[in-house]
Amino acid sequence: MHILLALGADALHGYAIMQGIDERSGGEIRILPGTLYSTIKKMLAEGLVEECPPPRDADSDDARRRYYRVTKQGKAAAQVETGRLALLVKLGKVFQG
Amino acid sequence: MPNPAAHRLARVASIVILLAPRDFRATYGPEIVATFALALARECEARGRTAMLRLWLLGIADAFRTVWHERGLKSGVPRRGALADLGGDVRQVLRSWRREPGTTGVILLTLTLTIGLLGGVLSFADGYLFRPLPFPDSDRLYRVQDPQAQPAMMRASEAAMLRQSPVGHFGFVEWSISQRVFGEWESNGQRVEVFAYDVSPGFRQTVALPLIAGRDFTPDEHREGSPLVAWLSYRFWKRAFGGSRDAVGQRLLVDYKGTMTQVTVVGILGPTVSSFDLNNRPPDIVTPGVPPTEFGPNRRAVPVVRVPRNMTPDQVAERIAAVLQAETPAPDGKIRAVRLQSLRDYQVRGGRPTAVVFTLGAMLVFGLGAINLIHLLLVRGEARADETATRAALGASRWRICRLFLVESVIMGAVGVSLGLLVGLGLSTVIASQVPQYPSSFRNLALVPVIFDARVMLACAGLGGLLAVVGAGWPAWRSVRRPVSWSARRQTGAPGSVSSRLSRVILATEVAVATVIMAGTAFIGVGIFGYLHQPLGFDVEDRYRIGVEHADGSAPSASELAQALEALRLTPGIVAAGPWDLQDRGRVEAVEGSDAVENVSARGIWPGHFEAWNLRLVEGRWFRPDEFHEQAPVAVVNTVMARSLWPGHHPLGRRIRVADTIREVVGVIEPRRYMLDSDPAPSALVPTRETSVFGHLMVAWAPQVPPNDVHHQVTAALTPTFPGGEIRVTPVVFDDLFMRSVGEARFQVPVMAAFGVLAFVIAAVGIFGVVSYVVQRRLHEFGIRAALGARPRHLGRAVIRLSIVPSCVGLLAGLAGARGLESVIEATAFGWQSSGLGTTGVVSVALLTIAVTASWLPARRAMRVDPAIVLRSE
Repeated sequence: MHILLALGADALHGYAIMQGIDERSGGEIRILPGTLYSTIKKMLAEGLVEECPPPRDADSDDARRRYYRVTKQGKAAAQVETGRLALLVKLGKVFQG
Repeated sequence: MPNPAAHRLARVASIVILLAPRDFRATYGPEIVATFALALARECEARGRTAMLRLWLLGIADAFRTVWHERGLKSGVPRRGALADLGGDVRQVLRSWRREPGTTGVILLTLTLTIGLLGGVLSFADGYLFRPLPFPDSDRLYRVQDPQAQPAMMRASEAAMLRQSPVGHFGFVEWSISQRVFGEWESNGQRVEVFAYDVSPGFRQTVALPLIAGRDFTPDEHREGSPLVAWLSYRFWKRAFGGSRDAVGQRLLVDYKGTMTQVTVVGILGPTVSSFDLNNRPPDIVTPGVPPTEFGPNRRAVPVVRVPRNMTPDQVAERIAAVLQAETPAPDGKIRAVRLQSLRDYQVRGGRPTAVVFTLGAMLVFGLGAINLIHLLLVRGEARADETATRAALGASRWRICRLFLVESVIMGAVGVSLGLLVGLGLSTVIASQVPQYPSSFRNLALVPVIFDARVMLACAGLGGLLAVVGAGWPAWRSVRRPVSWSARRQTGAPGSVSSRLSRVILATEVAVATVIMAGTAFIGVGIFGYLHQPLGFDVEDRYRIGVEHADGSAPSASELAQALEALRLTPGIVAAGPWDLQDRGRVEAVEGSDAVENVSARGIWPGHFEAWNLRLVEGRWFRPDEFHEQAPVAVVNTVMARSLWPGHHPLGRRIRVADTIREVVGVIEPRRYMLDSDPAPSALVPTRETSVFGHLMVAWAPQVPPNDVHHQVTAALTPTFPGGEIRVTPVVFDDLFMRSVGEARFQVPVMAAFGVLAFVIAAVGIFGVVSYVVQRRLHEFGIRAALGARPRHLGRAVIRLSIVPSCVGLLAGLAGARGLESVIEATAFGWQSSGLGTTGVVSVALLTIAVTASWLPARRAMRVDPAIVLRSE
């Protein structure tokens, strides 16, 4: 889910995804390269993300890396999961009395 | 900014990824490593090296987890192949460790301490023995010397001329104590001394000093009157600015003799740069030097040149000599010559002897730990004979049996090496803080910084890993060579055990190596003790150095100092006071009864100096009060002069001529030491009242008075003479007095002590382990002997003999080894003294005591053996 959120509407390479997760979570969540690529492999197999060509403004170093973006299926899965979590938060408000 | 260390660390992950399935490895392996390298570099930049190392450890663990997951082992589905049920082996190893926490703890502790010691020592020694200088093509950098001069340094004027000549493109750059900045600056309310060096124009182009931030000096900044800029040294940057990159652009206010000078920071030197000056401590800041336009005749320089790739050092030397011959030929007609000395040799020469001794010691301790470890693992392997036999009986292949030992070695190696690297990092930090900043005997240990980097870590990890694999490989090989069936075990009673002979050889080898280490440590320790406790010829305790300045910062006149001395002598608590030093009176011109009068110095001594320092009178008398005048016909000589000029004769009554006055020798004193590493020279003392060359320091002797009281009383006594002035009262400390003699000795002592203590502990543990194992094996035999009437003390003696005999053999071999190393160590170690039979005896007794003490518990076990229990268990 964190990977999908980090990707959002963009196409990013692995390191940028790691940085994105780190920044979005304020350093609370850190995903290491082994876990990252193992998860990306699984998400590719499930059709949640797909590989894509590098964006036009990528510099020469970045252009050699593989870029990923969220598929329609991935967006749908993220929406479902976000909805589920939002419902949980709503139901959990009783504990925040 | 590229970070080579991050890339090297990330490559370790590629080794782990090799264990992953081929398709995953091919598709994602390179990208995982590249991403990891980027993450490490970013972490280092943002949070420092320690945070980078922490992230690296987490990343490696993550890589293992990923491999595990990809191999499908986490799902618990057994796979075919060499790594099937690897998790089962890991669980088995951890269970066995829980069953034997003591042995496991000893194994891990031994590995941790030996790897840690090796890492700490290598972080110091690597720079002196193996690592090249941190500049591109550093092997092409040379110092230019004039072999025809004494000392072999060029004239500064010639170096300046060469810089402008057709050979100027070689460089001729210099690094010298700053003529522009020296003083203190304020930081967070504290005054911090700043020690600065200058570099000549073009220094960074020639030597390529690495900067981690900032820029080179511009040519304009080397001009007189230009705003002052500086590079910070790495240590000063860490200490004074907390390692913040914001230091670049900041301004320091440096107090130089009462004038505040603003210095702008334009760069930060890399951690691998320390200094290029043998005679002083490393700098805090480096400033652009202003080339002088005039040179005194005695001003010297040792410029650095870079030899081009298409030339050899000899060719460059010839070209330079040719220019010197053309421009400044020698007055005596000799052909000018130059000598090029490798910059690396110059940098590492001083520290290399200490580095050799430390590395040798660390490798010996590592070897001792390795022997210990291998025996413990052998014994443990044999203790698993039942388990091995059971697995073989249930169909386990030889590979599966071996794999358990190898898995244990990997886990043990990983844990031991990781902990060892942490210990090594800590030890490296301690060593770096203890490196003496000033040279001793022209050996400057501060020219190459202590760095615990990837090279050191890889060396330690490699050795530790090798040890772990060998330590497990041997029992693994033994277990598959003859997996034992239950029936065979019953017949022999002691299945596939480590033979007694092997155990005795191991014990003897341990004692031999421990003897070499402890003997070497003791010899060096005794030597250093003797060096630091030489007779000085004077006393240091309860002495105070007193310096005075007027309110306007001017130095006092000689007559004012004379008044100050009188006031000090009347101060309660002060027994004696005198000028800090002696007056130079040239040479002794003639000596009755001896022609060997060359190089005998004459010094003038004021009233009070003798008493304040408590110089030691050996024969005759000291000067009377009425004899303190310039033409006094009396002199006192030191014993060195007496022995060298009048060997076998009494010096009292002899006549010498000093400053055109004939003087009679009325007393002989012990020579006063000014350096610990050179013998005192012959000298004569003559009384004087001359105040013109007094100096501005005084010494006072105030026994049994608290230092604060001395400070108050001295200030009160001198304030009338120096109203509003600065009066400094400092207790005299031995290490400060001999600052340029004690550094290396004090540095070696704790490290050598660590070697000795570790060797002692590891040897004791090893002997205990071997003897316990042998007793355990022979418990059956002891039971039978006890049943047949052997007394407990006979059994105890038998056990003690088990350790004493091989220990004596090991001791003799070790002492022979220590003597064999003598010629190597004597040339390199600081205070080696091998001629002490007493020291050898003490080491021998210590090791035999370990052998007996470590055997005591196993001996008690043998003495208390119950024949009924032992025989019934069969």
